[in-house]
Amino acid sequence: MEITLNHYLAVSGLLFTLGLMGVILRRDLLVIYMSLEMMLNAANLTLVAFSRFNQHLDGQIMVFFTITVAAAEVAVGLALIVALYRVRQTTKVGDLTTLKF
Amino acid sequence: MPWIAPEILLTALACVLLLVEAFAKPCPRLIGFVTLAGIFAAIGITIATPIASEFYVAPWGGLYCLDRPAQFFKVFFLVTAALVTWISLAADEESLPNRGEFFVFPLLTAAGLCLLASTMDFMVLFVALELVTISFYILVAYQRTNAIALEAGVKYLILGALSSAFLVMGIAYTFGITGSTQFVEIGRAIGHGPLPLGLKFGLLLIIFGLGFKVAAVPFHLWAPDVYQGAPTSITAFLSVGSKAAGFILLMRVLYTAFGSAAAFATWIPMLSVLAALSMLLGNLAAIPQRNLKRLLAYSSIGHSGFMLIGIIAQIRTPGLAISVFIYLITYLLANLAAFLVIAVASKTIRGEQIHQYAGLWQRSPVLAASLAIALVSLAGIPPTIGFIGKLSIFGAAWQSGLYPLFWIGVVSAVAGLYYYLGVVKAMFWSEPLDNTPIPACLCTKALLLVLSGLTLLLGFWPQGLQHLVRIVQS
Repeated sequence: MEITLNHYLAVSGLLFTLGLMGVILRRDLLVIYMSLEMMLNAANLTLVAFSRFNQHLDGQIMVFFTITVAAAEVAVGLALIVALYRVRQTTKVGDLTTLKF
Repeated sequence: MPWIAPEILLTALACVLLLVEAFAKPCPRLIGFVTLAGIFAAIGITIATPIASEFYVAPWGGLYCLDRPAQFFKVFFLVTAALVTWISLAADEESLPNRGEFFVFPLLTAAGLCLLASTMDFMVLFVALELVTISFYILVAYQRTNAIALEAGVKYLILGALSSAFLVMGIAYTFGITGSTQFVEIGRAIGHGPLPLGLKFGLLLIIFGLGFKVAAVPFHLWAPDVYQGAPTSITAFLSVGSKAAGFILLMRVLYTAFGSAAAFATWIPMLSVLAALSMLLGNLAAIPQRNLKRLLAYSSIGHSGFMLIGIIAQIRTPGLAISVFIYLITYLLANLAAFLVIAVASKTIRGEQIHQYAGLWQRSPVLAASLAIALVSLAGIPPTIGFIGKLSIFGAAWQSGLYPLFWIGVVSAVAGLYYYLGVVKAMFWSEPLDNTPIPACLCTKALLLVLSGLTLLLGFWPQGLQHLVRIVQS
């Protein structure tokens, strides 16, 4: 069987949906953050697949930027979660209820 | 490269100041004043840069443009950044650790915002947007030992990263179908034909991502918590700078890249729903709020809805996007004055609950009057500039036949009067909890006078505002 663009799009769509479900359903900040990274990587896979099959290199260049930016985001994000853990001794979403209506 | 000079200046200054901060440990206020000087220099450069006569000049193969709207937004962002730095200096929040760095991050944010004003390519858009967003993650959670600030920071982080993921996926599909990341090329590739399904999907995801930036319902969930938990000056920056960035991006992406009739049929209904929901929910949910910053958060969600009407109206009757520009100016003046008062007052009041502002008039007439003028302007009551803003948006809606949005807007604006005037009533006609006067330095008073003065003056003399905006449009 030949692997076509649609196969790649299906896989990346699946990854994206899995990530989104993780963000919505999981209750731990670290796991949620991991799911978010999975969503970003699903988008990267889409970009690379389109780039490969359409013979445009722009998509692959975009992936480099996305990876770099995601790394910066993780650096700041993990630092934030660590700081939160130091103050509250928890990373569970259910405990973050100081700010509400 | 005179076009990109403001961005380069701001970024270089931020890097230098970070190094100086790390090794020389100067007085934090000094860094604040250098930051302010840098921003003023950037404003000067932006205004002095000549604009080419054609619609846009696109150096570097169309990645970047400098047209009148870009220049308007750059000055807008830089003025916001300058005022935010001023608020930080006036609030003088001693509780902040490493206060020197706190003045540096707004520089990076301002650089990112300036870049966003000029972007003509999805790659530049994404990188600049993330520069802004990541700087904001740091700024929102700057009080590292304060549980509330950290909670706000983490909420902003999770929802911000979620919106970035949607945006990248949207960009991926748009790139995949059209074969380009440049707005002009995408517009050319779409042509006049119908929109393929993949492109509709991409457009939907991009609007998700940008809707988060402007805090439009249903992507507003982060706004109340983050506005309440962040340092007051940063709340002001988020509510004015970050929101305006969302609007210039919406204009660029929707008008340039998705500017065909088939694309309009896809995004106009989506944006109309966002506008209607934002106006209604923003103004109704603000009514029961007891925290002033949270109240202003819901009010800012409502204002997003009003401005979205202007974006849609431009399609039916070209030229009406001018109402968004007018509205943004009114919003900047009123919102920054309000947050400046909150920042200065919370040094004495130690809280942002509305009942703590009771009798503010007896404790500090200047602060109370400025806050009252700002709130009246946000409510859109004449003779303030806010009335002109509302008038131009509603006028645009009526002129382009958006009657359902017009009526929803009028109803929500009337509902908005209730909570804005509730705060004014508490400040002027309630007994204060205690009678200690609230001190404010002379500079703060002068700045408040300028902001309130402009709010009133331009309300009486709207031709000045229209003239300014007409220059932008030409």
